[in-house]
Amino acid sequence: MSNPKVKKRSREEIAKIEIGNTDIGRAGKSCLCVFFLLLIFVYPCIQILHEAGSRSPLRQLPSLSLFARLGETGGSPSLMAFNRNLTAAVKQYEDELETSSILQKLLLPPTQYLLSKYFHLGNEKVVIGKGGHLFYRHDIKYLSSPGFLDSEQLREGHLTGRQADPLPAILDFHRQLKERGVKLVIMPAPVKPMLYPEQLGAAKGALNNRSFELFKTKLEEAGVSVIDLCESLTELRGKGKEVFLKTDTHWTPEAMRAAAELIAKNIGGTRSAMAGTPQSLSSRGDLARMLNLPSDSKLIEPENISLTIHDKVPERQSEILLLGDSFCNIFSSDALHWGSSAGLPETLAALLGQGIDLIARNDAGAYASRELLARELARGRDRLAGKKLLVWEFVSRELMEGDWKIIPLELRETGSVDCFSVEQPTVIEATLAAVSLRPRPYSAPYSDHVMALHLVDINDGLQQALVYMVSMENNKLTGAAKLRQNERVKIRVMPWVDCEERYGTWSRSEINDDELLLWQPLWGEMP
Amino acid sequence: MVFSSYLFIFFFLPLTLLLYYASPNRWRHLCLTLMSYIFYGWANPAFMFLMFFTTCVDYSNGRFMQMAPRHKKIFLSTSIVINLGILAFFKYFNFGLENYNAALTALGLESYCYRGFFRVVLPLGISFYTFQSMSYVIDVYRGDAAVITRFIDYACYISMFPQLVAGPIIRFQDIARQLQHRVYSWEKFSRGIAFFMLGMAKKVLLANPCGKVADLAFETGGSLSCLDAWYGITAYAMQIYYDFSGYSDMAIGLGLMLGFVFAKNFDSPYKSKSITEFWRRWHLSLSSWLRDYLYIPLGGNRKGVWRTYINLALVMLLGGLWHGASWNFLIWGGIHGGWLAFERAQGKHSFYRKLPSVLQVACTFLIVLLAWVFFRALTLPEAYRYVGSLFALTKTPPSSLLIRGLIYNPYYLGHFFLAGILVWAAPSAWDFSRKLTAAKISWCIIVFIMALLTLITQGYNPFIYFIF
Repeated sequence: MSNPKVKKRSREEIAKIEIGNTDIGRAGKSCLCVFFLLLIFVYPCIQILHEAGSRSPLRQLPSLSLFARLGETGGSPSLMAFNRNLTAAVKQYEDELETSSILQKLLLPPTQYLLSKYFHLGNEKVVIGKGGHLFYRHDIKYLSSPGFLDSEQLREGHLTGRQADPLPAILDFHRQLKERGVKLVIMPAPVKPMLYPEQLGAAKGALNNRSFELFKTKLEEAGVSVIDLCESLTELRGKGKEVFLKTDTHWTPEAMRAAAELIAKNIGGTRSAMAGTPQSLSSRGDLARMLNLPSDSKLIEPENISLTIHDKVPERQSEILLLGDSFCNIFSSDALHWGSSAGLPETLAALLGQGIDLIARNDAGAYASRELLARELARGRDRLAGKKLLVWEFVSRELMEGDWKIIPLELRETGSVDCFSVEQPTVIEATLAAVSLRPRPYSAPYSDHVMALHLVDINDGLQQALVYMVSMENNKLTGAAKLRQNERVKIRVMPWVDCEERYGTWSRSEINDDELLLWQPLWGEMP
Repeated sequence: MVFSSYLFIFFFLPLTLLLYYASPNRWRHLCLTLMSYIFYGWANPAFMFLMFFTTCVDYSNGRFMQMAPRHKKIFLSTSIVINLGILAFFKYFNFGLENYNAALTALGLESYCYRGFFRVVLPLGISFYTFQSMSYVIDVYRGDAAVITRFIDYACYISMFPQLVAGPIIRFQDIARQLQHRVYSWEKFSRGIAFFMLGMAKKVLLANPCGKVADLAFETGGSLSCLDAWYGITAYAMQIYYDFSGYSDMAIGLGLMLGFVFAKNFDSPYKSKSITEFWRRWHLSLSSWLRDYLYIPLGGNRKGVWRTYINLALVMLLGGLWHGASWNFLIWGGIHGGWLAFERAQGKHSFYRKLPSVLQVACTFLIVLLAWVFFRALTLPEAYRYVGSLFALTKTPPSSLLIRGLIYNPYYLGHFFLAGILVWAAPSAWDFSRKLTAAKISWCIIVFIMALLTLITQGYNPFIYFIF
């Protein structure tokens, strides 16, 4: 019979008894403790020694750079800004720690190879489809998520601090262009899962986000022409043509040409006979690179494509201005590793028999190209002068995850802002007042990236400058990526116009300061 | 900072252990408190001040109670008002605002709605440390614990990083003696390592792959095919269990490495044959906190049958609200509270108690599963749609089927079935690590290495309970 006076043991008392009764032999104890402690104590030492091999100063080694980073947050204008900078510094330190980890560098490619080969498993960004097509995870999300115009989706977008509804931005852009006598045509470029759904377990056919039809109707009602490529690309696929590259997020040259033809038809241009120089090339796409497989891996074979190179070059005086993102740049700019002078701008120009003006930048299609246009106008370069038509291409997934901010197009006088400028390459010494963000290698579809730097106290004077530099090339961070706020640096600068053709289309991060957007930027390199 | 991260395992933990054991005994609480503040401030340094404020308020109220015992009630009230006030502001302000706007809109008074941008950011782990801090003042008021004299001891109790941001909730009366004196031994340290290794394996090898499936299923906004919906919610049930119990095991393991003993937080909950039993096995530190500081003060079962039912439902509703500020959590709490009351009416048994044991477990799991839909869905309409999908009552958009190419990947399916087998067939971490034989130690090391490799090579690593 139980004694009612015996107090029931608490959970903590039971736990103490339980822990006190742990049964482990001396050898087991030693083995477990030695293994665990050696692992957690020795590995960081190996990592630091490895980093020290690069001969950087100790405080700049990724593992030891925390205090240097925290030191950079001093001088913030307010407590809120200080806290924000501190949080960013800590996050940056943790990111750099992970990316520089020798364990990650050694283990990631072979592990990914095994997962891809035996489980058909991609990574956070890449999904491996049934027929060997690779898919971008965000493209699938665009289709499988609820409609991008649903109130819940818009609310969620607003909470992340972006303007989630694309309609006000497009309609406002349309209004501003109309005031300048320019007609707007928009062309959301399809994403791969829209046309290859059967590779992901859905029925064959063309899919789109649940809000797309409503979006299209609302724009057409407001007088904006919308080119929907789905039908013609489905038709093309029906004829046995591939419309998307197997290992890339972008379309094939055939699909790109179909898009150019549809634009030409839509704007009523005279289609001229296409002539050009054929070229074949072989490459692996951005998705294959994002998988980060071992460099000698044969798991994903290069793809062969045939291009037609045209001699048409962007023509600033043209009546047509094309705004676009990487779907414009592919086959047009070398940065995407699929050849050049054979992309949408060149093909469209060849079809129309006239040169076209182009503003294109990889990534952030919702606002990047509009922002570039606005900046040109703000600097006094009227890119809308003489234009009758503006074709705006952006990838469809931007409708769901893009920042659709309203951007005013204001033409200002040339040279209204005085900032540091050079005529030829010059080495300067300056302090970094601000540095834009740079992506982590293999985390974005683009393997190259340009960052922005705000320089002050140039050569101990009062002048300031906005400088662009390469922060990542071929998924490898450059020396510029290590530059930090408040650091005193030496940089070789040259006029941006000398490098714009090559680097202007690259994915680029900007400094969050509207005033800087008005400055004439410089191009920079480490001396 | 999370336990299953490169930074924690290879930098924060070794540094903390080194400093802690290199410090003389009397400095160890200071050392642990400083490291805990760094751990907490890593995500947002500003919130360290909030935790420090809570610590000061409750430490002072405890001391005031000692100095002026006649006015104990005033100090208790002050503490409860301040703690609940902070919790209410940070956790429920946005929810209140949304409902205020929704009510005005429904009444046609849209012009009075708040359209500003002011929103409150939820500090990590506020629900956990606020409850801990309140437990101290209540314990002192009731005479269940002595007043703590050294501020640093109290700050250490509140901020102790192993259980700071996701529990288990440690009540003051249970840890008071350990703060004065605790035993360090290699047996304890070894078992702590075993707990940490098993917890990390649960989190990284089982919770994460299941979480991926659940995330994809819920990404559709609740409109998906019947089979996909069941797969998605079952995967979520696995994720939340392995994620939270894995975290608790790691917390217990870290506590042991530092000489503290924390109580069991999970006891194989999916093996329960009724909802009443489920709550004796799930998140034990929260359910016992709610029992001792809410259910019993409300009268418990001492004020008649109907009052008992009301108390049960009320406690679970508040338990739901403790998890988060949304109608979904209230409904989740309501389902559990209602079911507990229903089973209480039947003598703490389920209505399916005459079925074979396996079916009783299955029925209980099914009820838990349906309630998880409300817990996981972001909004109420999404939860309704998801429930509709479970019973094939909603139309499935063709684009939702795209997720099949991802969720039926052999890697995820394999982990899902493994998780299911282990949930019902494997012993708990406590039972497994009671007798650590050579074979068990080898298993711990193997799964830990596998978890480390996975952690280093894969990017997906969320922690569910961090948002509470």
